[in-house]
Amino acid sequence: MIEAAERLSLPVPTGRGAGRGWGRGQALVETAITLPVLIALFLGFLGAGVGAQGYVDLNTAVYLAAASNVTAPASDQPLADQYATDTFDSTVIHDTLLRTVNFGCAGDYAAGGVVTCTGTAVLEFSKTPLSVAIPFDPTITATASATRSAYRSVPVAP
Amino acid sequence: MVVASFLLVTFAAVSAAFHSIQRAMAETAAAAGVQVAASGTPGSPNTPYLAGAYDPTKRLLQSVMFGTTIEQGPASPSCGQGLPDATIQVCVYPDGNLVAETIRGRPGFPVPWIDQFLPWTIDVTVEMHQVSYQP
Repeated sequence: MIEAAERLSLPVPTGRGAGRGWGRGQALVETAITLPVLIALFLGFLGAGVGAQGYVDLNTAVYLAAASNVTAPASDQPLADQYATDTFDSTVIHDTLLRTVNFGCAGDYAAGGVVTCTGTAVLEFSKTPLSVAIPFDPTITATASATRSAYRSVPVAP
Repeated sequence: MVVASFLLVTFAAVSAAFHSIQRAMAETAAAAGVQVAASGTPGSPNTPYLAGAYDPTKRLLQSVMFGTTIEQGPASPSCGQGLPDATIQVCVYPDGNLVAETIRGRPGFPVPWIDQFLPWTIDVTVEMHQVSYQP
């Protein structure tokens, strides 16, 4: 650093303790450069963790909703969709960072058919202090499929 | 100072990552347990099998809950109240036509004294519609 100062024709400190002062100044400059990078890295790690948590929560809600859908009697789409929606809404509501955008299921509702459910939600980083590092709310989507039992009965007429 | 900051930030990041893994496993374990709970009790297919949810949940949780006591809690949403450190509770309870499972508490940390200074807690609830059977 002293050599650099000499090359730039800057005044080079001399005398007792001068080297130590320069060393301290150098450490301060290095810290000032490094610390924001480390803090940004830390916030990035936290953001990734919270993002993963939101995705796991949404994925679980959609998975359980698909599983609920296929437990309803065969060929009763309104009831099956009601089961799935109840399960999805009741699970997602426990995650304060997820805001549901839409949810729905489609497929073959007959016995032995495959139903696929898809849920979309906004991950609200803006509700957390992490919004300093992540200034937007990403939209995430999860999909799950389930197969209705081939032996599931159709609704019994009253 | 740079080295100290680096170590502090690295440790905080590792702690956050470890907590994420524990919470993700809690979510998976709760989902596995609530599916058992939402199905019928042996001998009474229209009654949710609340008691059956604890074992599959505990088996999954044990793999990442180092030094943590996992206990069965009350069958109500008031789960995990007044728990000591390094203890989590698993509670399964009916919620209308749905069955809910809550995992709540403060897990232990691999480095024993550090968990005193970390605010990491787990609070996961999942719900599933009861399986219905027809006569």
